[in-house]
Amino acid sequence: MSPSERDIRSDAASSQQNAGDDADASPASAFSSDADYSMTRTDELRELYDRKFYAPLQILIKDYRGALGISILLLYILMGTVGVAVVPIPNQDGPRMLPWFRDLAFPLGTDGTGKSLLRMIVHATPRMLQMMLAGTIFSLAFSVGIGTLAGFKRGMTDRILMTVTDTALNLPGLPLLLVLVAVLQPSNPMVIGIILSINGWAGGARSLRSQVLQLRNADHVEASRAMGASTGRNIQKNVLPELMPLIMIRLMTTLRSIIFAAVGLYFLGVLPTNDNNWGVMLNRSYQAVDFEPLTNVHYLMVPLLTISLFGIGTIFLAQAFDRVFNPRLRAKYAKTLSGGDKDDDADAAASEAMLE
Amino acid sequence: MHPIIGRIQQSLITLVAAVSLGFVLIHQLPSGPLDILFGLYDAQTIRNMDPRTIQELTKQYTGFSSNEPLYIQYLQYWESLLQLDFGTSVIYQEPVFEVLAPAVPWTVLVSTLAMVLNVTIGVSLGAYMAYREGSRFDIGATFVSVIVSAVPYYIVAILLLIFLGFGTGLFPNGGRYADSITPGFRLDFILSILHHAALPVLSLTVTSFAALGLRAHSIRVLGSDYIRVARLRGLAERRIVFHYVLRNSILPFYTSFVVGLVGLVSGSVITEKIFQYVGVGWYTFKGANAGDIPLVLGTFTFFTFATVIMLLVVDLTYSYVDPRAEGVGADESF
Repeated sequence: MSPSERDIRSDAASSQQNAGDDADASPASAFSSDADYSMTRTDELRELYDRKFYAPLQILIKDYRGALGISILLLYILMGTVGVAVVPIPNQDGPRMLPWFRDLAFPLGTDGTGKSLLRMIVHATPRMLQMMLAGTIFSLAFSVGIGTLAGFKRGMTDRILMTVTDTALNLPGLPLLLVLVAVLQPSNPMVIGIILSINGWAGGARSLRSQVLQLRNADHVEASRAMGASTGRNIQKNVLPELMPLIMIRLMTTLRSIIFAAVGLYFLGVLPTNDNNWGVMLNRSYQAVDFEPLTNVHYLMVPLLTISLFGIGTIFLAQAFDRVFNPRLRAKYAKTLSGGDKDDDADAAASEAMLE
Repeated sequence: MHPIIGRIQQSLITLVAAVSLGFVLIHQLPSGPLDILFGLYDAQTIRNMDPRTIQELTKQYTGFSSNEPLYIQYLQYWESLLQLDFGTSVIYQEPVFEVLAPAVPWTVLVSTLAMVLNVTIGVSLGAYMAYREGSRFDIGATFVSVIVSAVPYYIVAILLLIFLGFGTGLFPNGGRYADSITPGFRLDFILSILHHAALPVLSLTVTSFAALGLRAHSIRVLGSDYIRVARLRGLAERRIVFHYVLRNSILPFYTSFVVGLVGLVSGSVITEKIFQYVGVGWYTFKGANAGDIPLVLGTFTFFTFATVIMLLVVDLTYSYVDPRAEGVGADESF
């Protein structure tokens, strides 16, 4: 079944159901056909789950980058939730500046005051996660909301929203953050996260808008509009699902950019450094490392690797999402997973053949 | 409305927004514009000061007098900015403009060099990877560029400094040129500049995302009919890669390359700190660290101005580069 048929049918189904509800409010309904619709709904949900969640997840996990990306991100989430409960709070009970991999009690070594670096990293994670969560929600809400609305509505709405977006996009990122941080002096991780994404949403809004511009004239969207579906419903039913992969890629990019910006600012020492986190560790270790001769390098490497590994995780996952997004690859996997359309298979086979 | 006028209008809006933001932020300080004086004198001295002296000092450091009504202050702020008076730096005790002006060429030099390297390497590598999609070369190169671009540029900068700077001594550890050489338009001076710029440029180049983005786009181009026709005509591989794939896949990236340059320029804050490279970014870092608000706002204005000009030039030239573009800014890439 082509997407346009499915959407028309689901629109028709829901409007009929609404009509049925209005016509007969009593529980003993004569419209027994309602049961058919709810069956269809269940089927639709199952199909939706299969196509939008199960199949993409399979593509993600089968791709080594997806599997690796998911495991790395899960590791950080576990570190920030379970890890904090399991790993004791760092205290100054170790030998000073112990190199890594020497003592099982201090696997990653210690800093200048004898604190275990592993414990410090683990206990800094929740704040980092909070920062990323707040920033990402803020950034994604703005870019998805503004991007889809501007692209779908066009006209005056588009012009105003894009003027705002372009203004945010043209402001230089890091200097803007430095100005804001220097003046506002934030210390709450959530607030820092939001400040860090203050103009990051603009790029996402732009790219989502150009995607919506292509989508809004697709047959099934036009059919839905012709049937009188409201803008909100049309965006929600027809546009957003198609944008999902792009949004997921944006999500990964945003997570990474927030954490990089945060660590960068902590490293510069412009954010308040009274509580411990990866950036503060990088800042302190950079000052603690003796360069000539090179000693205490482990202190620098621990936060450095922690941040890099997170970056690698998000990039791998974004790359894997790119594969989910790629229709040619999706068609290839759909054959084994949900018996995709024959046309797609033929296309995929053709393009595969052409590349050889 | 003509698209060029619209584009210029957008640039002006951005500039106004940036300057207004600066003005609002000065008023957002705990005690408003007067807060800047607290960095200079202790509270007791300020309390004993003549109100007129306080006004003069505020005007000198921020560019407007805080006893006027708000809109007059705002106009005064604009008036001083248009006269290139960005206020006075608290830590250097010099007009911000005079602090920053000598630093600008250095930041521009490093960013431009990084961008040129970036484009050259990114474009050729990306197109070739796409052409050989799925080959061992593609997988290897993709893996390396993914890892490298997953790492923030400042981490690469620190590693380069440790291993190439301090470890082997191949490159200087900081500074813009060797102290022993007197500045002048001579070969040894230019070589010294390039030697000192090498590590900052390298750290900015290595972490760019250009190759992968170009690869993804080239793969899409590779699916086009004209590539198929080119193959069927039996054209040489190199001709297909450079004349057919590269030319078409590079176009949407014209914009993102310049956006990349903008990123490099604003990223110079951290790079210049690490390499002790005294450019605009260095002063931004110094100012933000010391709470020198006029200096930070001055650099912010500089960065905004540079960004706006660069993006304007790109958008205005884009339709010349790609004749298919409908008009200014009609074609967006991610």
